Amino acid sequence: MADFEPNITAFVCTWCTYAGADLAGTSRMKYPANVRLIRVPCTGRIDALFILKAFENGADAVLVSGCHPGDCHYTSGNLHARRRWTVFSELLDFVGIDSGRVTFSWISAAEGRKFADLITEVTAKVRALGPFDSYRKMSAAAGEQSNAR
Amino acid sequence: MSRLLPRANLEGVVAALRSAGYRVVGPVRRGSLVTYDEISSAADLALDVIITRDSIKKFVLPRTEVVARFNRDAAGKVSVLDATAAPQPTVILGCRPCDAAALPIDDLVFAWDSTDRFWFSRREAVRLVTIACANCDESCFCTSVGGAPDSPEGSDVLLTETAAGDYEVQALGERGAELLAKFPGLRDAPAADRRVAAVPQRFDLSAAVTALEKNFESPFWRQTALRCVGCGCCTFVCPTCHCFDLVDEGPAYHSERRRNWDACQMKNFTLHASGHNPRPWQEHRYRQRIMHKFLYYPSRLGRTLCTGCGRCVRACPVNLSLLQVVSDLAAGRANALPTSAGEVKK
Amino acid sequence: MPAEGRQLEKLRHLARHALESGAVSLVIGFAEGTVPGRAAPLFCTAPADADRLIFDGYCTLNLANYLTRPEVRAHQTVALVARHAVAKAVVGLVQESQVDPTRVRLIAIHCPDLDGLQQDVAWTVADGLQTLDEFLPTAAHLHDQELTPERFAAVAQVESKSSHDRWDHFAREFDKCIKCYACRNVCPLCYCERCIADKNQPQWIDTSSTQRGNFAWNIVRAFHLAGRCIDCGACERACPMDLPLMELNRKMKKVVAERFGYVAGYDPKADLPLVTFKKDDPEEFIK
Repeated sequence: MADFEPNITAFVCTWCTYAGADLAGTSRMKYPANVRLIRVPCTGRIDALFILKAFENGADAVLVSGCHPGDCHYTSGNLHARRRWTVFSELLDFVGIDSGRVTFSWISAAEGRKFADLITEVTAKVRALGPFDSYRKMSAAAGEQSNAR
Repeated sequence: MSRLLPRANLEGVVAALRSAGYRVVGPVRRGSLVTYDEISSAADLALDVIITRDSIKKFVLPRTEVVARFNRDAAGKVSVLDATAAPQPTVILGCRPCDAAALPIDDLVFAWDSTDRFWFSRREAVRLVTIACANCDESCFCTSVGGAPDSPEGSDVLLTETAAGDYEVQALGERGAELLAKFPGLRDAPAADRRVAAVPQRFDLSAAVTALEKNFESPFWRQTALRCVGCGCCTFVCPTCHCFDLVDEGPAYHSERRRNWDACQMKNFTLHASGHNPRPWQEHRYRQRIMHKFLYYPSRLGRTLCTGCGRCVRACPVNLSLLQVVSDLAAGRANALPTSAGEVKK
Repeated sequence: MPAEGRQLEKLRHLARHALESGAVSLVIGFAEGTVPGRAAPLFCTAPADADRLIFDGYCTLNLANYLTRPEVRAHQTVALVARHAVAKAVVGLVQESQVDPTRVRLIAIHCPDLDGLQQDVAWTVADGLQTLDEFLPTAAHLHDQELTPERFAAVAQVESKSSHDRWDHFAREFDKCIKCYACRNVCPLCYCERCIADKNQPQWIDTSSTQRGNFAWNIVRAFHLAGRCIDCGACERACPMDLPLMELNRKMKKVVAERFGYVAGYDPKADLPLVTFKKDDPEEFIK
């Protein structure tokens, strides 16, 4: 597993976490290059389908992050999102997706350090979990499945 | 005299076929579900059930099948790759006559116009060892559509249970003889009593067809299909329903064209890109299913697109029984309806 | 006349009278099925149709599903033969502005929950045609029974497995799915004119019945019903391949009840749990 480099997809809101990631960069903080950021207007925009799609396209883990409660640029997008994540994360856990594969966080525009630390932590955790082979196997070409069934 | 396969030798048959390189599938229990799936021993077979929930169709027309692959390289050049797989040689052991009979009927449409090599390559790879039905239930109606519980149609080998619980064996055609040669433990025995279900004739097919010819616009359809929820349950469990959709799925740079089961009962089936739907109401979609099976297909290709297995009758979540509907048609109930009957405004 | 016969007479009388008086133009109930052990939905538009109504333990379909059908919407007022699960679905439809409560009447049937098909079930029919508002107080006491441990026995069994075994369990179950969408189409709360599964620009859920397409569909179906599912079990009974869909739905019901203190199907004026929030909602899982 030593040569396994996790592929992490992060959905982040443009107002807080994306700005926080920017701050981490401009402050020259170092964090693993395993994360790909996808910027959305608000965490309220992050549909559960985004998370599934990321896994379908080969993500080993997904990070979802936005403004702290009370800081939402649109007042309550993150509070609505919080309820959806509560339910969706339980659903993913129920069907056997390790909770380490989906991380939720609040990171403000001032928290460049928190962003860098979280990416470091998540990368290490996913490195330990290994590649998300079970999802990838499930996503294998239909041709390999169709004859069997 | 007839050839007899003692029941105890079924195990030997499974082993012999497997060592001959066949994947052997048969009716198996999966919790409450009985479905066709791979077996490794005759003990896996659920031979006491009247019929499996889904049909053998999936072995010749998989619910999803890759028909082409395409790649797009860094320069943007698109190449189309052939996806024809070599299907695994398969024996379906414990197939029912109503399942076996479906394949020759569907051959007609897959050979009509152009030859569907996906269908026929799988068809070539599949051998059917059918067990005649010793029992039936109130949803079985093979005898009403020209079949029989011990019909050899479509099968390669037909097994008929004897009163003693063994099987009388009949090879059909060259393929059947070839397959039967692999069966161990056959012996000659005097003809014994055969256990074959008495499936009553439930309706007069020609009367139903005549009624369909006259009742395209009948309020019968509205009245009948109001309860239909438009799912694909009946068509997907049907051994003869063969409609499919072609979709391109997968990542943009290396993707697949797949052929997936589709169902005339779903409203998207006929939905045009313009938004127009030539079958806008469920009654139109339900009528299509009955018309296609009992009028259009026979008038174009000469065979009724139904083998009377009754799966759609059993599986329908709203008890919209095709058997009842066709019986009603045959009994002239559609003809008798005044045009205002069952009026439900739209 | 045995008690059940009297109830049946009363049911038919209520339906007949509702049509005769013009209070409603359609009564949706059940008739004898075509085979023993099944019941068939019946649409009564003429008073005489009411004589075919029945009720028994096989009447498990959720008739509220038909309220959003265009053919049914065309009626000014519709009456439903409604056991509790049907009424709960009407609550959900009213809550989500899909059905105008002034255009629905209930012929309320009081009976135990019909979790599976059962031949004998004791039932009584309420006096008179009821509006939803008139019906609700008569069922309010059932709220407390929604969260009994027996209802969650199958969920608890799955929860007791390891994460790895849970994945295997659902991978095996989802693999059976043939994407006939019977689960969606019999669900009274799955009323979307265009389902996410039917959208292809962009295509979020593979239409193919591959393991991946089946997984996405079954997860998303359960998630879209979270906090909305009224626990009638119609989806699971409709499934031709016997997928344990209620394991997912009841898990969602449990999470919503534990986290947000909400049970669907009782209050048509309540905010749906996933379209509202509280400032102090639990968030221990958020870093």
